[in-house]
Amino acid sequence: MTRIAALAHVVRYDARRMQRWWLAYSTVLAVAAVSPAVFRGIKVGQYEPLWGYTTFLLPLTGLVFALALGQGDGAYDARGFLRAKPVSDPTRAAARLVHLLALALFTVAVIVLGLWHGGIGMPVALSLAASAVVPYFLLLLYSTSIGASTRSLSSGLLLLFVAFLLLFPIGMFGLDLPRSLLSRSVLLSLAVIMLWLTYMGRVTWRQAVTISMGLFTLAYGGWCARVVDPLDRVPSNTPPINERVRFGAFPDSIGERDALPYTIEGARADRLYWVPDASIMPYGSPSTSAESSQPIRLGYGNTLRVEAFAVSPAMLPGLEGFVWAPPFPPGASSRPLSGMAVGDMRADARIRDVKEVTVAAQLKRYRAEPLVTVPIALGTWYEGGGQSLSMVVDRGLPVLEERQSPRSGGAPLDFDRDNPSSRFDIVVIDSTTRTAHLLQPRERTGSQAVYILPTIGFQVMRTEFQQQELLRALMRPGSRSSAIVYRWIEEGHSGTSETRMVQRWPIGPDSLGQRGLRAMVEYKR
Amino acid sequence: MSTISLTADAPTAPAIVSARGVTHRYGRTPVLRGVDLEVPEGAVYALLGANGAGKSTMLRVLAGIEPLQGGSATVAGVSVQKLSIADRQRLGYVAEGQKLPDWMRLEQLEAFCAPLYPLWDAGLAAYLRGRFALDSKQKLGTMSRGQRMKAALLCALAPRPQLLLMDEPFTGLDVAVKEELIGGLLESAGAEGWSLVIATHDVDEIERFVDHVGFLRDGVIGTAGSLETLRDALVRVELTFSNAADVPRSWPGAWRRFRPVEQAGLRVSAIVDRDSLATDPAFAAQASNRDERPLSLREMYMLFGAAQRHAGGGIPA
Repeated sequence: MTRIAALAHVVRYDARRMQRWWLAYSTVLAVAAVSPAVFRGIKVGQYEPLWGYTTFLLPLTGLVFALALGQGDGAYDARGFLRAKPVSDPTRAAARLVHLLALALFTVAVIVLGLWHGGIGMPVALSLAASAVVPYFLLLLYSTSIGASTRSLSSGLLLLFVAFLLLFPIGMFGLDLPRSLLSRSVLLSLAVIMLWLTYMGRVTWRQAVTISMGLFTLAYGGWCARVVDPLDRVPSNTPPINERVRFGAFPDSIGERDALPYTIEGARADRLYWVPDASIMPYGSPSTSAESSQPIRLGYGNTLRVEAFAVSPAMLPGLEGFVWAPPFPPGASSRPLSGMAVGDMRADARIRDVKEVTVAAQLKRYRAEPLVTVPIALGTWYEGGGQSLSMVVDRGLPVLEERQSPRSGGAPLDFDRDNPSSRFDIVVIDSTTRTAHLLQPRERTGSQAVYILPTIGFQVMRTEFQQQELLRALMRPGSRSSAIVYRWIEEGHSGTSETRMVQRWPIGPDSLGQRGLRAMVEYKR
Repeated sequence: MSTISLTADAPTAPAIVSARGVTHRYGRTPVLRGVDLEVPEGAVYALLGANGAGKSTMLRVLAGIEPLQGGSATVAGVSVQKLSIADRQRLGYVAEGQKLPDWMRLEQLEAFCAPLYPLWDAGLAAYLRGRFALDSKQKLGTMSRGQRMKAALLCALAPRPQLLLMDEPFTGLDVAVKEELIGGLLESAGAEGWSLVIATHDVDEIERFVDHVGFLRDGVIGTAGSLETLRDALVRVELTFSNAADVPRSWPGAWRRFRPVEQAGLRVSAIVDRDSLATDPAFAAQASNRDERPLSLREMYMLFGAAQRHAGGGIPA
């Protein structure tokens, strides 16, 4: 009997052994697949029990299935039928993996059908499925390993419950930690199980070391990160750029909510710049205490609000020769890029007199990437990367509906001016008059999420724009207007650090009265 | 109380199983503490010991089901750590409580097992099915305990194994089923010259067909050898005295070596090694009646295999 024939023999045996489980699981999935309500965006509260169905019953059934699969002829099952037969351990393990893979693919395939049935476009459904197969397979492998380490289904379920309670804080459910970290957690847990089995004399040290080495290679070899983070939009190691933030002259005095002006030296007109962080470090303090050398953040909390996101037609590919139509969007400009950083100027440490300060800032450069150009009409505008954009009518007004997997690696659509890392822009163009309209969000409504498995789900968000009347007018038959969807891709970054002498920096805490740690600072040239 | 050292009993045939210093533990619990085992080829070997002595673990180590943690063990000259699929195809393993695929009919079980063994003998399987009065259409899940054991034995014998390992095969079976099993077993093994290792504490059932025994106690085999050698070496002597004055008040060390001399009225009974009888003590000549007989396997088991009782034991008042 060849190895392939032996594997097929054992796979058939396992299929017969698990036939009742397959039947039960298929029934659960089939019910889910034909229940559009399960997969549609459901208002929370109206069909609340269904949430339990999708978030609890479906994954639990699959995991218990995997648990039972692992317990048959497992390491703890010394009286298992196959253990006494001339079937090698690798053959038995490979047969289990075949079943797990089939289980994962079957589950995800049914969910894709369910999503499609529920109104999600097939490209998005497939994208969600592709991102869910590997994590779900790892979860099944995890459950199978627990099954192989326990004597009975009840003890296996108990251990599985405890294991998932432990996984909960590290983000398997709920928290949105990077997938690679989750995968590593699962794989490291598997390594712990191997150690336990070795300690209990169920496997040899040689087997444990071999399997653990494989798991660690899988966890830290980068494979997981590549597989489970396929939709990461921002490159992790962007190159440095030559542009620098240049702070202007410090005013004689600056109060709360006053502006600290800056320019970006060498800025390109076709790029967007962002200052994500800036701080002031007081040096020369008479005090030698550590607190006086702590950096003082500018802005409210740790953010620095930048008003001069000067989005111009020149920065957006495909808009050459276009001009912004009035009313101009806030921040839209054709001037060379410069900005005014406006912060609350709140110090987060006690400040004493100093003679000089160091100002540090980080700068990032973004380029606009057009995702799609579509005629202005109701229906799907864009699908891909785990996201879909559709123009729908809500209460008689056109709104943009976004469906997206929160775990697909990308962030929800963000029209926030402050953070281009997850920002999208939509421009409506009129080719006849060569005018462009940058859509401005007015209201984000009804964020809804349906989690079908711990690793697959989506959010439904709707955005109203300030130019709703314009949109409604352009959607009339005969209109030749189009919409271009852009996203911003980080292209590079730089850091700036500058030390300046000051005469009176800052006002000492005694003069702040009851403001306590909230110190007002004053800049001197 | 000492044990007799008969492990030097030289095997007359090459060993099918050879183990030296085998150790095994489950977590912190040691089960095997250095087992030496030698099973001659063609032998029917009984591995005897109390519950928890480590018999099942030893057989599972030999079958390659449990990993070998310490020592060395070979089956047919191959280390149990390196048993290939071909080696395991010549090895049969049957255990009490062993799981069977309950959803299968007997004929499906045979059909599943047959491809796994190149030497599977369908004729022998059919013969054993008839001899064991098994219905090939019956599902394993609906079979009685005895029928399940027969089915397992059928699947273990049909591949004509070179070595058959059996773990408590007779536990919980009625007398008739035991007779059928033993008959089928002896018939097959005897005809083919297979080797058998049976782990059990059911000594009465196996005494008539085993030829070698090993007593496993506290994780080691203290006494082992051919049954014939053991019987030659140990003798139960029973003396009957005419009057109480003749009954001695103390006994020589050779008479107390294995267990205390038992005295009931004028009758005295002791286990001694045969060599000691050559120098009979004087009191033996005064006995009105003297009876000598070889030890039964049960008596040997009580001597070398049964768990040692704690001193001062007994039912509390």
